[in-house]
Amino acid sequence: MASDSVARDVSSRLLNQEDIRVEAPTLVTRLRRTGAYLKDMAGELWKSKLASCGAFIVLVMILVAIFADVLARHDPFSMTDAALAPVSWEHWFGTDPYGRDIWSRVVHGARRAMVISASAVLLGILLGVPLGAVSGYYGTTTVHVAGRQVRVPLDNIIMRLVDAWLAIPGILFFLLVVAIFGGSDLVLIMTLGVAQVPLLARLVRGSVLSEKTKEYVEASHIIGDSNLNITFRQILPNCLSPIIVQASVSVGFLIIVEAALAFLGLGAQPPTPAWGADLNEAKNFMETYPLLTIFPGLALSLTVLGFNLFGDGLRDILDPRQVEQ
Amino acid sequence: MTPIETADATLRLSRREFVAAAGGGIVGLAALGLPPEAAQAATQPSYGGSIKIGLRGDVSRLDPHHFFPPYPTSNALSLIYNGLTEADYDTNVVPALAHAWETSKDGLTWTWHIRKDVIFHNGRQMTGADVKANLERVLNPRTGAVIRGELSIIDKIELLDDFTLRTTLKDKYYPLPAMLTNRWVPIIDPQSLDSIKQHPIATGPFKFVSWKRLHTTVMARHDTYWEKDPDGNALPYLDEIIGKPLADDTVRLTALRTGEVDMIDAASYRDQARFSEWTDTFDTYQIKALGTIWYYFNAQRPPFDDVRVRRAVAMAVDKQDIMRKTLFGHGEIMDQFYTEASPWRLPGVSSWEFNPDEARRLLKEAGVRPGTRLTMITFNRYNYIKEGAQIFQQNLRQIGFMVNLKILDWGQLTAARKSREWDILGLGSAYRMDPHEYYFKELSSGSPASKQTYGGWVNADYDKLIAAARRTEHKAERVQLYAEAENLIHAEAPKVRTISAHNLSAWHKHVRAYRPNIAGNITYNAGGFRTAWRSPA
Amino acid sequence: MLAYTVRRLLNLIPILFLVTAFLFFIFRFLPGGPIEMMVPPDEVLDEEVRLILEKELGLDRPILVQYFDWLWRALQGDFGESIYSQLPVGSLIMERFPATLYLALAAVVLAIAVAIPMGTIAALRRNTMTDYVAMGTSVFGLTVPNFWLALMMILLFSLGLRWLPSMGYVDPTQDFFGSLKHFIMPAIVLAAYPCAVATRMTRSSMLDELNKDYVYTARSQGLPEWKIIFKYTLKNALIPTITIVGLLFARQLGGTIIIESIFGWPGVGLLIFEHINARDFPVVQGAGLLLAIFFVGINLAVDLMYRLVNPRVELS
Repeated sequence: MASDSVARDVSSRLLNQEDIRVEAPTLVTRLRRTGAYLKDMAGELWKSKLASCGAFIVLVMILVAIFADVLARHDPFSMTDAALAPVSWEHWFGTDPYGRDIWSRVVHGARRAMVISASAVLLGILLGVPLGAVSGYYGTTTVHVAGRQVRVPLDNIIMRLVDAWLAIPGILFFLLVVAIFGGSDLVLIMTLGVAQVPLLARLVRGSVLSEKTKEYVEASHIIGDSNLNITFRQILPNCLSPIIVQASVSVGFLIIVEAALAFLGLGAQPPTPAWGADLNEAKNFMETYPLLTIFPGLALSLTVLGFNLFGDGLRDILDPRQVEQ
Repeated sequence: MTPIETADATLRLSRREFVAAAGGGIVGLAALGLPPEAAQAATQPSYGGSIKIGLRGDVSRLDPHHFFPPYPTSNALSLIYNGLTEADYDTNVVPALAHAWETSKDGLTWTWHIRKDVIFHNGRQMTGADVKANLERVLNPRTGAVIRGELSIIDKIELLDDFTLRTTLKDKYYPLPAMLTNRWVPIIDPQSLDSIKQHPIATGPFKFVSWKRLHTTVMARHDTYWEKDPDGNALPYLDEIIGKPLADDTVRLTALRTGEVDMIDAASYRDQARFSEWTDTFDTYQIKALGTIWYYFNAQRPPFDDVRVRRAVAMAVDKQDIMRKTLFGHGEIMDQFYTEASPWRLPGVSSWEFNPDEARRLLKEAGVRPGTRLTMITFNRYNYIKEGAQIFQQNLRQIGFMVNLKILDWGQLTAARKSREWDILGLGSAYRMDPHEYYFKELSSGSPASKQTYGGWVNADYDKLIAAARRTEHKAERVQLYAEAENLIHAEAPKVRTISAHNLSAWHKHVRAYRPNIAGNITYNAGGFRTAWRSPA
Repeated sequence: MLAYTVRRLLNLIPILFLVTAFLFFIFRFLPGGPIEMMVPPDEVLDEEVRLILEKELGLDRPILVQYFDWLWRALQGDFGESIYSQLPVGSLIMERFPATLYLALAAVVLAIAVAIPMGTIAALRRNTMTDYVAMGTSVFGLTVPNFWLALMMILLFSLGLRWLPSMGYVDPTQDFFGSLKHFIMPAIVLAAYPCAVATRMTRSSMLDELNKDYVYTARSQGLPEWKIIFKYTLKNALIPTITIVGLLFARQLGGTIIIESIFGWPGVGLLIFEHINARDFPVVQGAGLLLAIFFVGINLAVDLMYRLVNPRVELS
């Protein structure tokens, strides 16, 4: 609904206003437009109980990640003699086998999980969206090489690349890259981010294909806007909804992937406070001190739950097909 | 595959512990070590039956000479091999396929008398010519045998008659028998080399049946095996052994408890105490000469090219804390390579006391600024190694070092070690049958491994001691030389030892008369699965 | 339809070509190279031995020659020999592929068997307690990391209640009933995610269908509700569900690594994992290629089926 209204707004402006050719949207108008869009969305979100619940969890987790240093009551690395202590006022979640405070580790783990997966998704968007947009908009394009015209099936090339990308099992890709380039945070972000590209590219391509046929695009053509301009300034803003939904779900998904890799011993390494790595260590205490498995596991599940509910809520709002609900 | 996994070792259960256990006063360690024979002495072994064993490692490959030899500690396939010599319960070197050997006065000529009653798994009789062919194969660079470097001391191999072999050395080398055990030079049928990658033929108590990588190794009884029990009955008793590789501690213990396997070679340290509740179900054995955990300092670059910095760090490591938190007390604090249980335990070796204040003073004296960054690399497979590294990292932080700890998988670790881009390497060395294997390879500047994969420390006095020890025949004199070398290591601190883990091997009570040797070998002279039997249900 | 199928099949060629290139060349970034990995970590390789090995493994040839040689052999079904275990890669993989395939199949069957009734009921009883419970369960499936679920199930059913074995595998073609107890836990864990996705998909497409005009028409004509649901709406609503399950099934084949390592399942996932650690590239290349072929194959099959069932689908 929201996306439709934005689209209608944009297309009507394009069709009716004569001055559109000379006056590209200024920063202020763009910001105002985005602001209104977000406000619109927030309002819709509030109506759905589950979605606002998800948004709340996400918000809390973001705050936890930002203020991890304040919230953590102990140094997550510092080992004490109070090993495997039970839950107490001093140690809200107890301590691990080295006497480290689990609450502090879970809190710092939140920061790590959020930063890595959000950066990865951002990277995926930065790479995947232009790729999909170009693929969808240009299709087959003609370039001049040495005075001759060469038809380049851009869409076909990009889509075959994307297919090949998707054909490599995700976990195999992660394992290979992390094993070979090491599990530093940068490598993780790059790997997880790059792995999001094909999905996003496909998604954007689909949206661009359907937008391309709409009147406002034709209008822009008639006005004489450049292809690049049309793609990135006019079509893309109207494909925002699926991207946002996908991004939200992806953050949740990548948090699981990052944890799974750490659980397999790749990526985050102890003593880095990371949920997956902590779970890997905790699994050896599963029977004797199940507490160790519970808190990082809960934090992980809760965060992923938040992103999923939030993403679902957004989808309900943004996907016009499901408006009836 | 790795140092710890491949440990052999030492220590017969001490009388003190046995008495304590028998007195029933102490639960825990002592009770855990109760030798199964005590309870089973009355019953007679019976033939037949199949046993599933869960080991930490999988068979690496079927050609036993090609890089990864089937270590008798963690590799199920070690049950199909014999060597010219082998370990006994106490890890002394004893005769196996060679029933005797003599050394000439100058120490250069060794004459080996080969057993005449050895039959290969394919029914052919083994002769001196087969042994000669095996030695030649190991010495051939194409084969890629790990022990080739050490054995290149052999100048000539001659066959005196069908069952007598003579090896002539280039120089005196008294560790030779220890280098010809089933661990380093397993004897295979040289006429069946075509099928070695799919179906090895050897002389051991069990013969190869099948191997599914990372899943199962099936071995069947070798009916014409040469070893006999004390009453003259044929060995082994068991019809079949099925090996299961179970790398994960939790998975392995669970498999034992749920009956998926009859025996496991190691229980995680945190679970060891629980076995005292399960004495009705399992018999256990504590392996006390597994190997030793250490940290090497990269002496080839600052700050560890300065002996004061090395000493300071050696004083900063809290070994007690490492043992308590990673082994839950199931181990030994180490200041030398061999544990108390080993026949090579050296007398009079000094130790570093935990003293962070003195460490900080030394660092100041050496001009190391607080906040100096260090890179520590270690291996990701063994919990107690990576856990210990985290504690050491914390210890170093207290004396002012910021340590970037990299816990790497095997491939990354191999590459990282050789890149020399590290300051501290944390790992362990497996038990060595002969001290020369350890002292020469890791620390002598004549060894390529010392410079390329260990600390790269160079000390001429040390090199001389190690060379002299290798050329000395009598054990007592060699012990003296190694003790001197060990004190030099203490003073110069090219590395610091932390702990030695006591592995707990455990099995269901229907597995009878089984016991690994003190280093954890599942097959050794007159013991392990060679003499184990299964009580009929 | 035939032309479409042929075109799609031709499309597979560049895709698989790119996949092989990725699998082959990524190993060239390895520090130290594969030979270093053949040697125990604390050993040093003689230069002499290194040269012999390089020649034996064909690593002394130009990289492109190595690649096309490998590709050419792979096309003929020869994936070479494992560097580490010296076993033929083809048989290593085929020995383990059935275990992975059966597990993925079991998980998919389980997912469908649970998801379709649950999603349908949730749609029919929209916004009731039943709906909330069904959706809550499916959110659980979506968000609980499967390795954690696996650990918890072992804790409860193997160690606590002792109902199910914690590990092991019995070939179902040899002992079907004996194998069931081994399949239960890994299949449930593996099914959790696809089942959750499929439940939600069924519910939402069911809701879509129920809102369509033909349903109103049918209702107004007095057709019984069950007949409308089973005869018309369910059939249409299931198309997207089956599609998504098919795609997840393809993903599943590659995604079982963690589950296999927890349950000691002798599948391809564990094989790949262990051989990545050992840098045994012929095995990883072979197994990776197999999974990729399966993935694109199932994708294609799903697309074709989708088109067959629903001819209105636009061809891209």
